[in-house]
Amino acid sequence: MEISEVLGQFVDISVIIGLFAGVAFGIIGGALPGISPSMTIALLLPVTLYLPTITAIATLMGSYQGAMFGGSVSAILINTPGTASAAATALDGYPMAQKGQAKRALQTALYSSCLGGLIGTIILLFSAQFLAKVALKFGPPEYFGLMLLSLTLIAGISGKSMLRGIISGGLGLLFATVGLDPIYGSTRFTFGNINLYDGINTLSVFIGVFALSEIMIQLSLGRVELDKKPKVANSNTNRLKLKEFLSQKTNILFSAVIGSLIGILPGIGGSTASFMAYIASQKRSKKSEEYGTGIIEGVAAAEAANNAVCGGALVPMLTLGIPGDVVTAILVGALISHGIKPGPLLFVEEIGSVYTVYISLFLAVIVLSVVGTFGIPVFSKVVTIRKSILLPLVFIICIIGTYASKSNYFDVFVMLFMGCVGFALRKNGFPIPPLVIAFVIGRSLESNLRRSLILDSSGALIFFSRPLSAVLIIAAIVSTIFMVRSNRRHKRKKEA
Amino acid sequence: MKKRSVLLPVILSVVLMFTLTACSSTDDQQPSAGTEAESELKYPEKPIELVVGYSAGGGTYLAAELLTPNAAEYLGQPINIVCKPGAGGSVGATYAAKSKPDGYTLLYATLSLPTSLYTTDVEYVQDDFIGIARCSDIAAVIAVKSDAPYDTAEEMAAWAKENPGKLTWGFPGVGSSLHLTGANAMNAMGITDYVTEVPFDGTTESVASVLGGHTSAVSCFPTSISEQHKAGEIKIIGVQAKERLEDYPDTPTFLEQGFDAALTSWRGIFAPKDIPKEIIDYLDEAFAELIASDEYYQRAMELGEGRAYLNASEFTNFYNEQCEAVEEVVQSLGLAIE
Amino acid sequence: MKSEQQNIISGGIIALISIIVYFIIIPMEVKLKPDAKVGPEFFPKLAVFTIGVMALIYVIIQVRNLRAAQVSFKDGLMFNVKEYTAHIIFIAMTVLFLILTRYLGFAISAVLFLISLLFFFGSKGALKNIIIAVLYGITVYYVFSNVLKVRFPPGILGI
Repeated sequence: MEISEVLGQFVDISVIIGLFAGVAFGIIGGALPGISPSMTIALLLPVTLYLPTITAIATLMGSYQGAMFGGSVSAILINTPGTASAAATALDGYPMAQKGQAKRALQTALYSSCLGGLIGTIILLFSAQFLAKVALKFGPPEYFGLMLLSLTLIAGISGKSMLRGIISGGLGLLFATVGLDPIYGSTRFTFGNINLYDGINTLSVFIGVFALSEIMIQLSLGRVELDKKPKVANSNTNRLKLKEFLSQKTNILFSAVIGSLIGILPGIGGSTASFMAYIASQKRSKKSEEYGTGIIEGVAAAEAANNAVCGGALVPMLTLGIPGDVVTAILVGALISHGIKPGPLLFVEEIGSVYTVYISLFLAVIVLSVVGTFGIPVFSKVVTIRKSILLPLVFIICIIGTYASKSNYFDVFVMLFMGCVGFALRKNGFPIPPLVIAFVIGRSLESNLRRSLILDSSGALIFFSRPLSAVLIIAAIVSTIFMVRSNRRHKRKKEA
Repeated sequence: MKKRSVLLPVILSVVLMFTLTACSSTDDQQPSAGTEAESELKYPEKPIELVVGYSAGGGTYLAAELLTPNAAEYLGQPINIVCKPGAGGSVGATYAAKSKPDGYTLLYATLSLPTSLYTTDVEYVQDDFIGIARCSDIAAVIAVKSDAPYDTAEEMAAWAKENPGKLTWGFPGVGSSLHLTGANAMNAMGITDYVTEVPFDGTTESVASVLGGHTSAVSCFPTSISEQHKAGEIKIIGVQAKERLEDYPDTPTFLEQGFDAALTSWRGIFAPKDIPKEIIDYLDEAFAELIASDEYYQRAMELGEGRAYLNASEFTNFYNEQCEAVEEVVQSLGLAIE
Repeated sequence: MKSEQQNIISGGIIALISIIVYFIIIPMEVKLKPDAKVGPEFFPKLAVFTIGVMALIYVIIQVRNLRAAQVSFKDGLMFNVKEYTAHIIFIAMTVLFLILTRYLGFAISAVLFLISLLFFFGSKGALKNIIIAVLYGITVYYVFSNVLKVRFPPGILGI
């Protein structure tokens, strides 16, 4: 089947409607906290079963990309990541909104998402089979090395006090150990409660530590202050100028590459990717101190990465039949029900289906930019609402969203607890990002460490006898040393 | 002017949402007239909840979804699937066990249910559930990379004994049904002390690990590796079933190879224990017809789930037998919680 | 009070919690696997140990800074509980709401909760608040339960 033939099939009104509906639904689902991208797609599945194959794939890809962007809408506007992968976006996105630049932040997020998604698709297009082989080389020791490297980068985004950052990170790691032990199944910190067997719900942590702690901090302002009408920002500072966007091209490129590479590894998804891209971007940037105060660099890096994950996660799915993340796992099911069986033979037997997926991704990104552009003025109106009204409304969404993820009120109580923890930490100057990152990667870090030790009973030798994991671990050690040194130098400069 | 540009997208999104609601409620159709028995039995009068202890979009969820499209035709009311994921299906099972036994809450469970009784600290017991219908019975397999130095179970067992500790096998989740079936197979081959178990967080990772050469074998369902098998990248050492699988006519079972490992993973519908007998009978009949229907069969075959129906009393007996069998296996493998 | 004083307290509390977790909570809540080399307790202990050590170092540095500024620890040490009454009430209200949902169902409880929150956060005007709460509460409930198919257990009143 020629690629032009497949392309021709896309010129169909139902496909175009599917793309737009998928993207729109994805954005809404992504924006609603508690509705993860995988849930959004799972909801669309029954509908797509009745649609012709191309329309179905287009709709699903559209909602995948849409959801990855949608999460940033609530992350930016109300400091509540709508999806786990948007947590990193909130780090700079919300401060930007606080500064009256909500629209600018949303535009940065949108266009970075689109560009990131595009780059992810291109990477998928040209190197799918090669990358799949690389992905397979990642066994437990390599995963551990990668997670260790990410963990050490936490030290870099600790801001002023590395000690406080490490403490926050340690807390995150500790929270990550709650639940059943991944290797032996023993209960850890479950206090006899079956709802904790799978660990603390990631959403409870994100929503609690970001949104609820923020609401509580705002509460300190007092009723009078909260009821005041928010100042309307100067429309000139609230716009993303083309020049500014273009200045981010290297940032977006690197972040997208990081995003798609991480997306390729099964089991690691959007949130890890966007955090790593964010940290890497901060390390590379001359403005590294300004990260977290509300600059477009942070938003661009996080959003480019999490949309690039879409392309990356499809690599192992299409080439090996192994899903790269939760969403692609559902996509496998969707494809199978249309008679397309993802696996090593797909490229050989059904290249047309592969082209369909590629083209859908491309078009999804384009449609996203259109739908998003129309949506942004609507979304931005949210910040013109008085806080006395906005905060209660946001809180209800937080509660219902946390409940929705597993239909369990327990998660809401956990969210309350994490909110208080987050509030207490912030009030005492402890940074939140290290806690969140450590929590996200903690489980993978520990389970892969112990898996590696099981695989090679001779102890830690396994990490260094394999080239890839050795490289990653040495990189982790080296980066820690560098960061401690630069932090010391920094402190000395300040005191001088 | 500004107000208008905001209003239009808002209206469009609301219209979109309602359209999608309409589309996805195709199964909430008008219930058709009930059977004769229904005129005396005031059931069901509202939709029936089917609890699935796994996340939406996953394998068990998709299997449960097979029952929904024309549920209203056979049961008189639509089936609504409620996902209560957690603890390998135990959160959902706990919820179902504690629910009102009025026939409006049913549980869709798998071999993990008996397994959880002995490997996890759960609040329910074996007798808290009554079987209503078994839907499928899938055999797990032990698969290895195609370039492994053994082709049959015997060869693999021999290799393991010659290289103690080197044969590593992966499975998704400690205490899961695949853990159990895999451990059972290893035990049957007599190599439990010569192999190393490596728990993973999901089937995807465990299969990827074998393909990448990091672990030697994996305990999984054939659907997880069907494409890789076709492409020749993975070979199946043995099927854990009483007979060869339709899709794999050339792959021998463990029984054929002389090893007694035929613990299969089934999926079926349960109800909480004190449910009234009339409702059990009603559901028994209704599900029997639904599952026997051609549409169900077609959907099930497409999904790769297959059909292995047992009615309420057969399934309840089967379930109780399975609990005993599982208890034995768990004890002998040392997986039981203290 | 100076930031160092506050930091000493926060660092001290964290160090104390680490000690409690390490010696009491972990043995209580982490089921050990007898013959495991790297058992379930390894990682939690490592994490808590790191936190504890870092917290101690943190406290020591803060004490040194305080001494350098020649301020005694007790100077101006104050903790204004009144600052946080609003937060405590807020959390209490939320817990009450969550308990209420079991009896009144999510929709009704959410609307009532929303009305009280709106007043609590300073929004004035009873009619305005009630309208916002009802419209928003019903819409959000509808979207999540009908469009997104999330199940909310009904309360006594059936919703």
